[in-house]
Amino acid sequence: MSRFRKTEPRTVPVLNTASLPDMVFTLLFFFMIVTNIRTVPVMTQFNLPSAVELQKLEEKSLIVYVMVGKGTPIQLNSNFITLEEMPAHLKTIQAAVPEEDQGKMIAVLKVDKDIPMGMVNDIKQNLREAHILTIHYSAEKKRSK
Amino acid sequence: MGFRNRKHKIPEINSSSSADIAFLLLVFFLVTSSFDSKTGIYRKMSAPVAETVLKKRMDIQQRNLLTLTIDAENHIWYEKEEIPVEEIRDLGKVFITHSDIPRHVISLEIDRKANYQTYLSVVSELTAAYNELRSEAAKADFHTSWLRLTAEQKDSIQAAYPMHISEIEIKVVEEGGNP
Repeated sequence: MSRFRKTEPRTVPVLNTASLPDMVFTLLFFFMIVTNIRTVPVMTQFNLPSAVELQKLEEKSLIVYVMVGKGTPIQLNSNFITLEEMPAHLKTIQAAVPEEDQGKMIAVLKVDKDIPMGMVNDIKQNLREAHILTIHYSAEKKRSK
Repeated sequence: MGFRNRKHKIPEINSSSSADIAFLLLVFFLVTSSFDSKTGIYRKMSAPVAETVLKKRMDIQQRNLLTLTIDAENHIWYEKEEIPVEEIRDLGKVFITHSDIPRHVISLEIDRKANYQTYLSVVSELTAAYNELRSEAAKADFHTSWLRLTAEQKDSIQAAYPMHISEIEIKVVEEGGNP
């Protein structure tokens, strides 16, 4: 037994944390890549409808956001407008876009699921008359029962 | 000479706090970035046309026309029978394959009071019907899945199965006129 006592006093080995920042940076970059940075402030409350066949919005520029929530006016990009003002506002938005890109504009419709279709149709008609023909209806993935 | 000092060790930089700095950055980005849902359904509208052109009726044969109606109570009707949303996909597929494919038209008649969710479910099911047909065509013609096709192959299938969905708004009948 005495042989064991002769050993030098042991110290707990120091944990090398040199690679910890690398791990955290990996996490940081992961989140930076995965998140979509929002460009337009969302001032409208809405519950998006659910659907089965979904496609991701690929383009990031030339987007017009139209948001409609319950009991609030229409939010076009970052202002609240009424339906009657919409054509004029769309014109000013289009004026800022170079002419060759105007056909590529996309309207992203974020509409509450309980909004009547009359409203949606009127908005679509306005977009159509402004020659913004590609529409992306925002929806969530339908959860299987 | 400087060589004599060789035995002096270079002091290590204490890097234990750099992890904290990185964490701080991570938390900052997590808090400031807002998650945005990017999923949805693409749809292309036709260009606006003059009223006179619009009035000209297209002659569509009965077998090339599928009419679905969404009423104000969010019920979906097909040939005077109510059908559940889940059956629209199969109905659409059967209709498209039995029609003269380049000339087929799916007509959606939507009441102004119907809600957006119902409309989008119908559109989603119809899109699913087209996508299933197109992937079946991809299997039959090119023996691979739709995702592996080249752009030209996709174009040829899309030309073979074009999406023809027209939307009509049901005009509101004035209420209160009942005798």
